Amino acid sequence: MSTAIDYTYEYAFPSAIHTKNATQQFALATSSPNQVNPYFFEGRVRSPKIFGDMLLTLSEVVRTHFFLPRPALLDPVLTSSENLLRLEGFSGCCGVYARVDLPSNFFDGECLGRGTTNVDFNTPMRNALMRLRDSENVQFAVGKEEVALTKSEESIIEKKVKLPLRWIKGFSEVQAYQPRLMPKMEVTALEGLKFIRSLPKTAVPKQPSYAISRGRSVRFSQRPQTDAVKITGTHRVRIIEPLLLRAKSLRIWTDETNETSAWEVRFPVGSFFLMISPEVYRGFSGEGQVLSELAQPPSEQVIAQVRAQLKWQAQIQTADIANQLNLSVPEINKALSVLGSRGLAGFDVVNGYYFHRELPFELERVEEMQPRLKNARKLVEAGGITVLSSSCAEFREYEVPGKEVLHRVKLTESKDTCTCVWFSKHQGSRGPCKHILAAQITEDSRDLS
Amino acid sequence: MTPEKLETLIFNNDREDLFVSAVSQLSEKERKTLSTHTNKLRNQITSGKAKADASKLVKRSIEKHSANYWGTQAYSNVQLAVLAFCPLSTVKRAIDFFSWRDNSAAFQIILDRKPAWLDDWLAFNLDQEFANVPFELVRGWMKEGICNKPTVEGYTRQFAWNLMAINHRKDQAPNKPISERLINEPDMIDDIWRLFEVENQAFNTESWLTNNAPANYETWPEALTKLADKGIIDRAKLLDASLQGLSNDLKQNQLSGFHKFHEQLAPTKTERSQRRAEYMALLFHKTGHVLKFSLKMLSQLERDKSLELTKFLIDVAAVFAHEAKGNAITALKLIARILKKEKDRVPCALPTMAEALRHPNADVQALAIELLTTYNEQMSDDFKSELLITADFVADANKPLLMSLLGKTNNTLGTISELNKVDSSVLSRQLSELSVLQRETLGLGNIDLEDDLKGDIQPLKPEIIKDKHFHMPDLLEPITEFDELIQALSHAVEIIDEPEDVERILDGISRLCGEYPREFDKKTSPLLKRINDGGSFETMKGLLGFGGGLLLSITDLVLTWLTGEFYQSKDTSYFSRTPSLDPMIVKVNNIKRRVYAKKPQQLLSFPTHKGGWIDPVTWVNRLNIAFANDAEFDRMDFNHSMLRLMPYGRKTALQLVRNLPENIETVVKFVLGESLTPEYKDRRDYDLWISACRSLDPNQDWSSYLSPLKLNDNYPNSIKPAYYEWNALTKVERGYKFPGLKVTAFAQSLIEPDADIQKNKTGFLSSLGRKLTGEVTVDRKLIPSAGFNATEKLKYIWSCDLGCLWINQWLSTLWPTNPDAFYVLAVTQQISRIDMDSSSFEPNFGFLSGLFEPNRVWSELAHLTLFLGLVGKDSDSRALAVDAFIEAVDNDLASQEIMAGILVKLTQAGWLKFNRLAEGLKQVTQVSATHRYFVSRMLQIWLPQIDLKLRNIHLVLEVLLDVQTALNQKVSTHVSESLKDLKGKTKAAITASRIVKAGSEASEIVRQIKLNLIASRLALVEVTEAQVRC
Repeated sequence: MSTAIDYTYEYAFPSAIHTKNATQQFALATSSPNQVNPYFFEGRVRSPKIFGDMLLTLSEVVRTHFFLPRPALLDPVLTSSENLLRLEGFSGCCGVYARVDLPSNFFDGECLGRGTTNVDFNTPMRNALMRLRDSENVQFAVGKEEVALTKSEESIIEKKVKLPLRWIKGFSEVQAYQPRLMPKMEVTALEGLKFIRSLPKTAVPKQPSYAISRGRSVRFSQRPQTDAVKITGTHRVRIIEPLLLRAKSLRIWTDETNETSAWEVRFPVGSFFLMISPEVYRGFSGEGQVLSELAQPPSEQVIAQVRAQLKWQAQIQTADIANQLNLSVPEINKALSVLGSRGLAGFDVVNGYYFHRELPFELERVEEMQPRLKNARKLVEAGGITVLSSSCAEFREYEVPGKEVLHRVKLTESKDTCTCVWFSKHQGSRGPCKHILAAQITEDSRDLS
Repeated sequence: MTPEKLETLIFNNDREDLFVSAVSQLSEKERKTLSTHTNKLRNQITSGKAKADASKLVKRSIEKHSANYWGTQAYSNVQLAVLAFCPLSTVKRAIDFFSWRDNSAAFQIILDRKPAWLDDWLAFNLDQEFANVPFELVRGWMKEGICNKPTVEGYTRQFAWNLMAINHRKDQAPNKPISERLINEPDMIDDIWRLFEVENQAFNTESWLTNNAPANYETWPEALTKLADKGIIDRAKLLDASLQGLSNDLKQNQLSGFHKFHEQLAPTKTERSQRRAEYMALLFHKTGHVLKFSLKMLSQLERDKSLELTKFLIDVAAVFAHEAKGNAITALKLIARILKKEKDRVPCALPTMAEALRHPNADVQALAIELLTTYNEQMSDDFKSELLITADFVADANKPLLMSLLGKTNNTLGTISELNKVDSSVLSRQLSELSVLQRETLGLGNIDLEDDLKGDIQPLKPEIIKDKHFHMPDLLEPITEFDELIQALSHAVEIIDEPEDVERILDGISRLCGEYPREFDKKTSPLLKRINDGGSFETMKGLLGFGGGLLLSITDLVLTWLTGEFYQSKDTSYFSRTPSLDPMIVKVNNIKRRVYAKKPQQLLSFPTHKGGWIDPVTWVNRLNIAFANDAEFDRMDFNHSMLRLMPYGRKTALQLVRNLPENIETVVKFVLGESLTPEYKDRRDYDLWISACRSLDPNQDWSSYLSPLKLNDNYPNSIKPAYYEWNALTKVERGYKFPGLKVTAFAQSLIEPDADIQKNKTGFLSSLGRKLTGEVTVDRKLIPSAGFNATEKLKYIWSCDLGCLWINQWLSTLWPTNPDAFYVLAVTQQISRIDMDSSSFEPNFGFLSGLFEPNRVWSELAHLTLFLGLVGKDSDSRALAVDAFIEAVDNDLASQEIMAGILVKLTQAGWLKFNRLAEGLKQVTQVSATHRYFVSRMLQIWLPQIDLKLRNIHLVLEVLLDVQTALNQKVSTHVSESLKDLKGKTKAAITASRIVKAGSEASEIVRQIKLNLIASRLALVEVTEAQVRC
């Protein structure tokens, strides 16, 4: 299977900042897969310096491959709704996810359209963003009115890129992580800056590092301790340093297993959210957090019903949808989780809501890209999975064929286990193994029958 | 051509020209018929296996070279055959190496065949990481008109590299200079512009590229400059291309090549002026050396009077977003130069200067403050208010300057909010109630509260821990069920999360080895298969290992349990055991014997708590149960268990001792605190008595107490305690690693007590005399405390055990009250890698885990382990050493005096890296005022004892300056005198002068810190008393 697809961003003009009558006019070029260039927003930026810094940092993330020298130049995606403009980006190595949330009161302006689009980030635009000062009058537009009306062939900017499948897969996988994140500590931006500046610059530890809370500050540590937040690849977190010079606070999130962490730079209005994968060399794409959902999805009918309710909401009210569809909230959440894995919904951990956006890429193949799930289905098709007599009300025990050996899979409410090497090594932190998935699929079909 | 003829041409032909002529006239149709057979022959050659239906010739030839087909004539011929007959898909796959002997043959075959796929193949091949079609062939085919010029990046890479001709050989004709080749083949001049767009070596400035080059050798920049001078290449276009290239995402060394080339072209004043916008845009570049180039060119423009000053003064703020100090300083100096001449431009420069205050480097901030002070009068009140916000970002040493600039008297320095307010009169009363001995133990002997806290707080004495103040560690739950053991073991085979997992598994196997539940084999077969497959041995992160030593013993134990067969492996070549782990190998082997005999029993030495500690009450219960159940008495297990007993709770445990064999009961009662004396009849149990004594006081000399046993014993940490000596030095490496290299060295020795007496007692008469007097010679193998100090000259180099992280972490838990023997191992390992990066095969950071034990006042070796971690290159160890330092200050376990003494010795060795030390200390001082005070005092003891003119010492002095400023404290007179010896304009002298002036005589912060420290020490007495009552 090819590891990347050829993709062409087709912009009607290059994103740029022009000075006109003492006003900086910043137009962000847009491109959607069906080659339309939507026109979503027009307004004045209230805090140009913060705005510039946030977009620059997002640009830095999408331009960076955190363990190879060659950067991947993959443009961010922007989702527009009445309540906010949201820009999301993913690093070339698929291990860092960044999101800029710009609520409506970040601007004096109006939303002209809802939807998701790629937006052009180029070098001259980056340079111009660096020059922005708060004293300036900055007008911001997503798309251009005249482009939406007339499109001149000569001015079209084409960027051909190799879009790695793992990049698309990771973009979906990252949504599965977010609902599990919990805030661990929040410090003032100054303390956050001190912390970020204390991270090793040259000799970066190979072992995981930790952020630990100390009074009103946060300290870098190399020791795992209670409530410490694990960081692998400290250089990935250092990317938020410029933002902390003008931010309000830094909030640090982690999940229960303390594998991944998220760094939310909070401004008086708006925020920058950075999430890093459990290891530098492990992108989110291989994490397998969505596998159980994909192995035991809600029915396609439920998924379709929930999908029909998505209308570019910045916050999806699951309870309302559950009422409307006469389904339970967990069912809605499960459907949203599957839709998230298909790139049709994102999760905003800060507010605890799913939001609607449709990644502007070919996403039908996301499930195909899950080799573990594919192998699990093969195991089921091949037969030989047997439920053991030791099974009881508390757990079900299965024997699943492995390589020259039979593995024991135990499915319980709290944790599923297996005797294979993958599970022994990762203990479920990187998603279920193919044997557990096969047992889950078998269990589901038994329940149905 | 028939297949047989083809086989003959491939296997019976050592002349490529014959092959070429034989195939030259074949039509494409004929070639197609031979394609499959060619492919099959190639597969057989590369796999080294002839097919059953292959001809005799093929079988014989392949057999001959089955092990190594590479470089054979047959392989070269078959590769040519692939070019001659096969389709593009096969050519792409097969021609993956430079695999034919004669380029001209390959050239001619393609020329004769004229394949339609040639353009596609070249595009594919040239873009591979290791492109292997020689550039000369590509050019040849282009000249012959059978292919187009490839447009892929690989062509440009080959173009650059081929013309550079780095791989010239002396036996070859001299290479033509690049400029000459370009003149001779002018179509290549069109290709040079791509050199600025594609990653290639043309502008690589590394010296190895030109080393040993012939006299007429020309680099690409030299050639291009020459051709530009001659007017053959457009000079303006070259200037632009080199600047444009800097905007491309290319490797840093290529970017540096671009701007060096640009400078080499020496642009004129007019040319510079024409490109001022491009130079200015480079201010936003993220690469430090490009920024430096930009500032250099802009500075030149300023001298040329063609710089857009206002735009520059605004845009240059981007430089301060980079943490590099040099560019920021250059930018500020350039601003200063401009403002000196153009005073009206100050308003637009002020925000830029303010931005510099947010730069992380203190020197940059200081210069910015100096500059702002110059233009103080032009700053509005609003601007000053905004400036005040940046005060938080400014280093402590710069805050007084900034506050003075802003006219603020109540500076924010010396905040003591983090410290508790302590009433000195209460402390005074508490102190007066203590005995002199108590005050000494608490390190408060020199403190005079009445006389304004004069005197220094000394480190806590180790006795404070003994039987008194004890931080109860987390409980360690044993494994009690079979399924849990299998699961824990399966995970441990892959990776050990923490060393306590190993204790749980050893204990689990020992206590569950009698159980063979239903489906034992089925449940354990995946695990057994994994172990037999090699497990994750190679990563050295798991429980099992190969080679030798403890890991191998544990592997044998696990396999014995899983299979029921007795496993006993031998150490293999190149790997050796670590002698000081021998007691643990004995312990594991004892478990294995019981497992084989299916005699389950709980280990006495299994820790009840993390850190290796055993709760005495649980220990006594275990003993009572073991003897009631007639369990085997494992002496090593018992001796080891005594070394792990907590000092806390022994009296309670004493009350629970029941019906033990008399000899054991006496030792058990003794170790739990009952006053008992050994008698001559106890000599058979000398190992138990010695272990009990070491458990009671690891550092005491027990010879007179144990004299009734009449022991002949000279082992350190047996009857007498061990003493260690060490020294740091530099020596010339003679070993296997880097012979002749000057390396850091370290000499440490274990002083054996009464070594002379031991020597005199080895003769026959001495032995006879001992027999007659009833003297017993001690066997070190029975006494773990002595065994841990064992050293032996070993035959093999590699220790598999010390390459394993969990073992390094585990060592300090083996004897929780005295891990010095293992610190010696740590120090030896650390010093061997002091200037090396962290390694997965020597994870030395594991040794530092012992420093985090809160129930242990640090020995000198513990301090040394910390410093070798702190000043080494190993980033994992350094980061962990900073943590250990911080916690040691928090827990009041370290000593500034010992630290300073160690630093004096390390400084004298000449290899101490002050930059690493300063970086580590800086991180410690950022934690709290107490940490700043600790470091300040340590530095003030150390610095007057060394030569302050050493290279990079200013970095440590900068730490002292920051600390003194933050504490608002003057350095001692002694330090001040030493610092005044530093004269001149060196960084060290300037910093020293600032240190001398910094702070005040009576610092309220320092007073509060000392009061807090005294209060926390006095609280230990209260805790101690409460524990005793409990």
